[in-house]
Amino acid sequence: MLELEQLLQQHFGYTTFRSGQKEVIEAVLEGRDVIALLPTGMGKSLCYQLPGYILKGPILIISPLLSLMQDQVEQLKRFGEKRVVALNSFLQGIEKQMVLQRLSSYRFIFISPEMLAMPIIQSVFQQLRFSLIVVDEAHCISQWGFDFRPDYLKITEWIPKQQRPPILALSATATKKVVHDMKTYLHMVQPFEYIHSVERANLHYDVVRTQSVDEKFDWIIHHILQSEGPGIIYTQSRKKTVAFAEALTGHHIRAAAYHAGMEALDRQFIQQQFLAGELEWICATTAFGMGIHKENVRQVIHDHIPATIANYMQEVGRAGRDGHDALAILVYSPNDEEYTQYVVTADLPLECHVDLYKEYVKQGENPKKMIDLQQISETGYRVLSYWMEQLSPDKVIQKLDNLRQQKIEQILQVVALVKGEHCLREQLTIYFDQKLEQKPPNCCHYCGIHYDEIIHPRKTIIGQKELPTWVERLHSLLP
Amino acid sequence: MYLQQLLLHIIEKFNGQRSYSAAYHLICGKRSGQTIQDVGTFRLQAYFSIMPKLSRDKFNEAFEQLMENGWVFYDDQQMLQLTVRGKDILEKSQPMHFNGWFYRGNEYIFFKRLSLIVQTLSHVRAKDYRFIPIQKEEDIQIWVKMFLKYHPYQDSSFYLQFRDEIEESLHKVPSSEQAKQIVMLRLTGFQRTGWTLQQLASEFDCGEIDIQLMFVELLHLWLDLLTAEAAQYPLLYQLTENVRIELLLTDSTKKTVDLFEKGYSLEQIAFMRHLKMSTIEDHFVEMAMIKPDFPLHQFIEEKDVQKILQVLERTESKRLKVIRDELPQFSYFQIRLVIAAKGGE
Repeated sequence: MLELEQLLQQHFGYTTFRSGQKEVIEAVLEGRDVIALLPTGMGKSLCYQLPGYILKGPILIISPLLSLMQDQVEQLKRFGEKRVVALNSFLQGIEKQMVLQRLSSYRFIFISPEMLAMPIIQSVFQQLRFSLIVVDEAHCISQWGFDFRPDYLKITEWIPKQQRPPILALSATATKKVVHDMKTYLHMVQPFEYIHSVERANLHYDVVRTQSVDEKFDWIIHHILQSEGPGIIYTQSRKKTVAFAEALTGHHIRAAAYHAGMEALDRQFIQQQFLAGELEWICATTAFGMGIHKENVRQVIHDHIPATIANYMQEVGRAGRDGHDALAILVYSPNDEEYTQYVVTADLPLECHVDLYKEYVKQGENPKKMIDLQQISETGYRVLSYWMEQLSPDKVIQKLDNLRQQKIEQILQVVALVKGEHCLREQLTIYFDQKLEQKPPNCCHYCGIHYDEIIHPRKTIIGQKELPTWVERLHSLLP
Repeated sequence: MYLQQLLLHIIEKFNGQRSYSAAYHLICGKRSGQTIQDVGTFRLQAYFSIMPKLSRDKFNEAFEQLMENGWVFYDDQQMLQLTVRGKDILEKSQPMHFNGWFYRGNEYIFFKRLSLIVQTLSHVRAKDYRFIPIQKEEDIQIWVKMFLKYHPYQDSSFYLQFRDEIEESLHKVPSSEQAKQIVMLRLTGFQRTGWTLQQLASEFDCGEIDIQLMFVELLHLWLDLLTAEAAQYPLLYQLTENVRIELLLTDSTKKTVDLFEKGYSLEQIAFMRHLKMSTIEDHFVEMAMIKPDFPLHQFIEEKDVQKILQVLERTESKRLKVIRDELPQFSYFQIRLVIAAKGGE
């Protein structure tokens, strides 16, 4: 067998593994079930990409989000891999038939959980011998995870209990409870576990208390005028992203809003500009981040109480991937948690939705109508219909009530983290059932923090983009 | 501002006979009998479906702005009219050159192909083969892949020809520098990022919708040019494949036409298609408007056509009710057919 490093160089152009990758890959190659918790941006995908060139037979990757799937397919194609396909709802008609017919010739097959539940897919899959099943973002399988997706539970019905290929469960962050759920639901047999430390010594945490929403806004703008990015402001509404971006551009700082309501092309332009260093600040909803591989983000600012500690970790984790010092600031004002609670539970179905659903079914109508009639959000309907198929209406109401309580519980954990008089770094490691070996200087607001020792004061303002004539522009695109 | 100019154009053409909602349906390209008929009656082909995704809120906002500016008003018969100022603004504004009827949003297919080809050529020239395609849609990607496979896209002669075709054709497009800048800045290439709508709007000090309108207008002009002078721009002309809509009837109307041409009556068609008579009538009106060979005289005699046309001219009204009140012997359907077939003449 070729040395792993040699293959790494040959297919991906890297010379060394990042921490955790080699251990995980070796366990996968031994045919063991593996749970790998690696932080985002640490090359989780390589853990199945490299084995693809050693194992015999296609690798199946189950992925919860279309955008994520697309990102990974593109990444593989960029490395020159042609035998890769994504099975999702976009695939239609003849093309779908063609793909399904020659499925065994692919090296990597990506699929969404919805597709996996389809009878045609299941019958095609029976003919295939996968060499590995990868469950990406595996925390979605647990209702204790921050991102529970009912669809994901359907995987468990599909995965054979015996005589199956090994399973690799990947996630960025997970508590013990979540890891336990992964093992149970995926029927994993004595898995090898690689759990990367959540501790990031180059990340420094601050919490800033302000008296009002306006003061909070002004504090953030003032702070950005004093210090340098690149940075990301995470906020909760599309309107706010625009407000921040306008305030910053008003001060000649290159900033842009980013949210899911924008045109796809615009969203890509913003990502490209941020990567190219043409934009210094992105003012975003949580829609921003996935598939962004920018190493030198120096600051992440939250203007709100995040919904869960894991969300918070994921978002601040986008700072300082280059290993240099970076700053994570959470600015809050009184009652912020109430707004978060509103945002987080807004999509949860209520008792009245359960009744409506029952009523439609009783009248022989498709309850999906509720979405068209704007009686429920799409996300809400997804959760509702899943549970209505599983449980009796009474139990569903109870279940939804539980979910609501859990979500509120998770927000309270963040509140405790933020408002508590403890070392924030220590609290974070405790939350993820890990131990903190050592505190870096400028650890957090509790231990003491000086911005000027972490980030640079603002010296430069990136000039505005020059407007070329159309001919100049054409010749710069095609010189 | 551009959106408001556009609304002034449309409201003037409606001449008080339609509400502002009809303008919204027109811009969005609603495929209803009424909207299609309005297109013919008021000669509004240019503006049909030029912004299929325009939200009602944004539209209402622009309309309210018109009212506030005092450019439009409701006269004593509650008809929407331009004020003197509104007319003045319209006269002084640049003429618009949309060609919505033939493109209906398809101009974006042309642009997406162009954008992916330019991006690819730009990266290939820089020997960077690992870039993220800017256009995500599978059908666009497949089309571009076929296009590039068919041509020697790595040769500099091809590269230069492609660029020259863009440059030469765009030079000939009778449009502002600004509009051409917008289209070029929506493209991306090796180490050249594109500009967002918001960035363009703030650079040109206008709204994002205005940018989108200028963008679409330029594409229409460009596509018209490429179609007319296909031989001069053989590469770019290929990008227009299936973009221009030649079959102008809506699908449902097409089915009705087929049955009618096989000799079935209106009633039979309605029965066979499980549709209401009024819907079938809409189809016939659409047919009368679009097909030059529509057999109008199967429905109304020539002398009656003339009667209706006279009333039309005298009352200067295209409101059905006004005409029907004068000529109660004809059905609404007959009057609509005549307006549709002759309205634009």
